[in-house]
Amino acid sequence: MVTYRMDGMSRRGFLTGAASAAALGALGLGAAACGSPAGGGAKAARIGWVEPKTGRLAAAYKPIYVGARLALEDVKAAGGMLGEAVEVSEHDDKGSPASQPAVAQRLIRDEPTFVVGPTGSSQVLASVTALARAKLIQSAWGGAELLGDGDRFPHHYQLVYNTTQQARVAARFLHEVRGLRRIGIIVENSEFGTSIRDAVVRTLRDAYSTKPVAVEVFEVDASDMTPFVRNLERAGVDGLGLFTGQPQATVLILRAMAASDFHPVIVSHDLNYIDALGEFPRALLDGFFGTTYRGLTYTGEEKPSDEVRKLVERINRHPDTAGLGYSAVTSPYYDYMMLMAKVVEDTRSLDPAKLKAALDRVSGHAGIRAKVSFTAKRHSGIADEDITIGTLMSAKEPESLGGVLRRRADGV
Amino acid sequence: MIADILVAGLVFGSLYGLVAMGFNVLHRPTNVVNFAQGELIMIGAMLMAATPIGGLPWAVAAACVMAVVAVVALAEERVAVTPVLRRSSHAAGWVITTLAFSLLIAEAAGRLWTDQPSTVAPPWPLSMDVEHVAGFRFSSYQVGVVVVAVAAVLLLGLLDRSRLGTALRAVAADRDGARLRGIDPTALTRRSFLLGGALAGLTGVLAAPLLLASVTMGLGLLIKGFAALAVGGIGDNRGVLVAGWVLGTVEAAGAAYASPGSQSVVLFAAMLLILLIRPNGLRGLAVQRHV
Repeated sequence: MVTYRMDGMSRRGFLTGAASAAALGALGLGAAACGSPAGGGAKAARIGWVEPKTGRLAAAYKPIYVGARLALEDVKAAGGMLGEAVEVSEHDDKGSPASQPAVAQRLIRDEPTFVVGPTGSSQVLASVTALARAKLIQSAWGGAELLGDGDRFPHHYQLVYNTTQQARVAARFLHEVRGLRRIGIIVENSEFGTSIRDAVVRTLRDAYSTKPVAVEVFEVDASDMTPFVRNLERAGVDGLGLFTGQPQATVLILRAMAASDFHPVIVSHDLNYIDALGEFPRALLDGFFGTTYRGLTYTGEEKPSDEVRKLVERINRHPDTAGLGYSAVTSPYYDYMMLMAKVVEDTRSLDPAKLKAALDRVSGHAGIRAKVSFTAKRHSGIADEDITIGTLMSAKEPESLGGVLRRRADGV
Repeated sequence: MIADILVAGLVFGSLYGLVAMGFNVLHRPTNVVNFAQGELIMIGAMLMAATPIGGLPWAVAAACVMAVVAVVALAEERVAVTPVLRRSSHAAGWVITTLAFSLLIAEAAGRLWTDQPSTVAPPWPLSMDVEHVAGFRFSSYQVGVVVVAVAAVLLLGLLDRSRLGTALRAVAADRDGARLRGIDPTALTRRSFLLGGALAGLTGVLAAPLLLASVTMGLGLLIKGFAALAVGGIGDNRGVLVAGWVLGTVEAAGAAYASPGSQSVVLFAAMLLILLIRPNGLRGLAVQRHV
């Protein structure tokens, strides 16, 4: 565990505050001045931070936390939380679900005001389950729909779109916008893959009274994607939902498609443009789309806000981003940290119960990526209208600011 | 469809066979199964994709990668294997120590590289462009991988018949007995780790254009290589290559015909079935011990 303080007060502020407290003390009001806004003695906000610092995913997940680090800088620049420095207790979860119970124990001991992370569907499920009884406010990056169920996980707030929302947008794009009728699905054999496969099948059935013509599920360590791609090709798939957390699998699937000259319209959930994609025919990549946040997209007439552009530029400059700006900016943690700072200031409290009550009433909070709203039951905060479809190849356009923003797909 | 399955079975099965041959090379003088083999292969692939090695001419780059991975394997032998064998040649502590070394490599790789895969071009004149011949679709590079796997079996067979191979067999049969006959098991172990590391590096070099270089590639190859070792028979290089081909073909057939998500079940069910019928490996070579 690493604990450090983000100083929230300037020297002048500190001296002014000290002088004021002394004066109030002299008037017999010292106790009132020294009492924290939470009412329990002077206490700084403490953030529990769960991030893989070691293990196979350490470098890969570093960019995901860049937004949270920038938010910390912004909170510090604004004078901290309730005028106090913010303490951060960092915990290494090694990117592993198995580490979450031990990390949860340490978090519970720390009594943080709120928790940032962990990242990854399996890690998040393990973490929220381990923290369920501790009543710690938490936001993690996991897309499973149940993570936004306020009854089931009353202290977890989901600031990313869930698999059902994603499936609805993907199915609508393929079926309505592109008019495709032979839709196939290819997913990895994991919690995320199963969740989104079921969501796409359900959406096609409920909204369009149809079903996928092919469903392929591959093992995450599959060496060769050719048999799966051939199955899709034989089924006559013209629109494909491709969902995997393994960038390697995406590239191997595209390679098998390129080898077969099979170019369906693809919707994925990952629009990271990596150099390995450069080997594929342009026709294949031009048909590659992905779900993303409306606030991070542009069209000929509509541009992202200056606020978004400034944040993207800051993220791109940050050394931890390592060229993975798309992951960094789509991460929920910048919006989450800024929302928590606002809720703390609005309630003038660090009491988790008061913060939870305020979070359950958040409505239309303007995040960088999307508007955020919660109710006591609905902790999935992103509205359907803020989810859209972007093109992969727009990563090469100057407007994408280094492959971070995306051009919205035609007709969306 | 069957043609596609056979091609995939031969190509990826050759990789699994090469992983299993790496196990064999290290196992012979030590009776150790190196659980870090998958990560050694991963290092080979990642170095092939990384600058400055990746920028060198292919043959030079491959030689550099093999040398670096051989050195890493030697370091493993020094810190994770020899100290265990020194206590007792029959101790099984190497299971944990080689696993621990594997975790160390994964840890270092996780700090150095992200999970984004990198492409590695095949060496001239080979290419990944697909050719159509008599209903089969394959690339010249895929043919190259199969040829290298077969060549590796032949070369290891020649090594087996050399003076060094005889000494290795003696150490394998009885480490203490071999020492009494003037053979230095520690020196042989070091040489085997160097050779096994170089073979792992070569496997990584060969796998990179097919699987892409990625920090996540090691575990899958380790498991499938281990399956080929179990089916082919420990110590039998021909057997493990054939087993690799069989398992590769079953894997590809499972992906093509089995219900979604059950390819692993098909693969390991086939492996169990083969082991039930041929418990000493596909070629049924019983382990002989000359005293």
